[in-house]
Amino acid sequence: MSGRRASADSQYLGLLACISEMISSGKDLDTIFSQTVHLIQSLLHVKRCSILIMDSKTGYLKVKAAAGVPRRLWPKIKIRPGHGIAGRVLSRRKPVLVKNRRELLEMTEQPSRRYTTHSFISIPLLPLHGKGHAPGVINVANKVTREAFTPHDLDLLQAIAGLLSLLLENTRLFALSQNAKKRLADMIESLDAGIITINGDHVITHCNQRAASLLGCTPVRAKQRPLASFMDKKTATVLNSMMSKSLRTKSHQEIELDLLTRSAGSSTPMRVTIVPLASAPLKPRETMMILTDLSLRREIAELKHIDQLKSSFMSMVSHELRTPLTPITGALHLLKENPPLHLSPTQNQMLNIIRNNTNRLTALVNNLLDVTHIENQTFAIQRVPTDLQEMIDSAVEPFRAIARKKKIHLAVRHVNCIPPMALDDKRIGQVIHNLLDNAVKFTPSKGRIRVETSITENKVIIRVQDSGIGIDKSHKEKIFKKFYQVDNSISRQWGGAGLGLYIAKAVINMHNGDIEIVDSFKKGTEFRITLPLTD
Amino acid sequence: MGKKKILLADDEEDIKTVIKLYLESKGYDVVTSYDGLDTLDKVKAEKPDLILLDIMMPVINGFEVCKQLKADENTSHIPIVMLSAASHADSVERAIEAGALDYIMKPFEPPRIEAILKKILG
Repeated sequence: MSGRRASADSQYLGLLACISEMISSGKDLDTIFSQTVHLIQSLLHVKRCSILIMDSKTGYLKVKAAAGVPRRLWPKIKIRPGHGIAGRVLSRRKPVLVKNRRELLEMTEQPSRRYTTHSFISIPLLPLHGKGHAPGVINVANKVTREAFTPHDLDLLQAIAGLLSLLLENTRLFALSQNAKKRLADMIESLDAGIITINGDHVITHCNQRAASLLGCTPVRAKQRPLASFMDKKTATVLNSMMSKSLRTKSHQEIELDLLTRSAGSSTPMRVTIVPLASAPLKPRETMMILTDLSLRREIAELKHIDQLKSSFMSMVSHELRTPLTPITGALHLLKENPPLHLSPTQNQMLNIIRNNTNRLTALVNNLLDVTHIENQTFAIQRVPTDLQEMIDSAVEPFRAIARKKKIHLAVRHVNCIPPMALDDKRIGQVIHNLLDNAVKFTPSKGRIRVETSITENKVIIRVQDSGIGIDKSHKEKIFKKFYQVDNSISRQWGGAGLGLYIAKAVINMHNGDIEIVDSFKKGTEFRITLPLTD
Repeated sequence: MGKKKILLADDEEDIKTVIKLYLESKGYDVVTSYDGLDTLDKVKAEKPDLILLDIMMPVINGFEVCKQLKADENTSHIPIVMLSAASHADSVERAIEAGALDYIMKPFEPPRIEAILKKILG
């Protein structure tokens, strides 16, 4: 008996050695599983041996490899965790040894007469990290000799299961690391910066898509070529010495230069950052080169410069226009107030035309100046204690005559009493004046215009409503933009150059308020100004 | 009580002609200067009751003229009102800092000047 045992032991040891050798050989999982079941089948003299692995998609144990089970049957075998012997082994993570048919029938709830199994071992595969269900089981059934399985057989199979568990764990970790590696590679590939790794001989070992296109090449072609072969000699010398310095001093090196690549023909402004890669101690030390395309940044800088030029030009123009307007305004005033001669009605009319248009020109120049200030962020308001209702009443007053003439019903309503507020009364008054000016122009005869003030939740709301032609939804946002005109035919009314509402918005925003066109207002237009109540 | 004497300092001849005419019609005595240096000379020679001082003037600009007049104890009492078409937001601040009492933005309707003069000179 002991001799047989000893021979069995040596056979078992051989089996274990065989399997562990397979595992370390780097063969794929399927091959190892398949060879393992066959080895077990022949060395343990069993009819059937199978490895079942949990299928994460279906939640069933499915046959991964089997000996003594016809392949056509494999897909039909599906075991739920907790059901059947293997299913229970899976859930409880404990092996089961069935010595005979009686034991088997005791264990299975629905014994089948067609059971051909008399002796059976099922062992869970338990990777170290495992929690919950085991990821798989290994089953053997029926010794050819019809002898029962022994605890010794169980020990051996447990040892094998341990090896296979290790293999599963390794495979899992390998897949994880592959995933991580792939993710990192994908990230590097998708970077907008060019990434190149370069070895100690200044030869490219890897480069991402962006770097390749900056070099005018493909990633595959760039590999194993000296960096210097892509650029002019001078740049290459500079970069090579920076790489050496980076390795020597273990520090980042950075330079901005115009990179003229051989294939591109034109130069690209670029920032090159060189980083020593310390993670490869055995190989010649590598450096990583990060190429950042600065073209866009340069373009932006240029555009900013042009914008500044434009602003100072606008500022200069408005200044230059204001200077001649001063004597014109003064001289007109003198002509009107101190007539040196008695003017004929026609002459007087001409004088009025000159004066009206001088005023228009002045307003236009002032708008231009405001826009310059808004853009330069030097636009300022001067807050003074203001009775808003009184201010609105006096803003409405000049429109009464023209409203009467056009038979427009013009009404002002103050819902609540508004306490004095710190506002730039001239600026806000101008905004209300502009809104009313437009309302009167856009409202046909027999229409109505309503100005209303009210207080809600620490906010003052001013509404200017008219029953005019209204503003199409598509313009409602854009109408507050600079130089925006609804269409040419009515642009003249909207403050000429499309600046009126742009300035109005800036004025209201400077007061921490908002101005908008109310969507829900159907017939006509409603402008709503919201101002926070101030002390 | 004699007429108040205003010194109008501006390099723009047309502006000076119009303002001078207007202020004279309102009963003021108006003398003019054409640049910063000339202004400093005229202040000493004419001893005006008030100075209307343009900012953008040749040789010495209005801010500088204002500072020098305020630093001189013989002239520091003379009220100064700045005139300018300057579009810089800090112009008003700079004018007040230099010692000006008020600031008029060009272009303006002449009555604005008279209103300010009345407020300062009574």
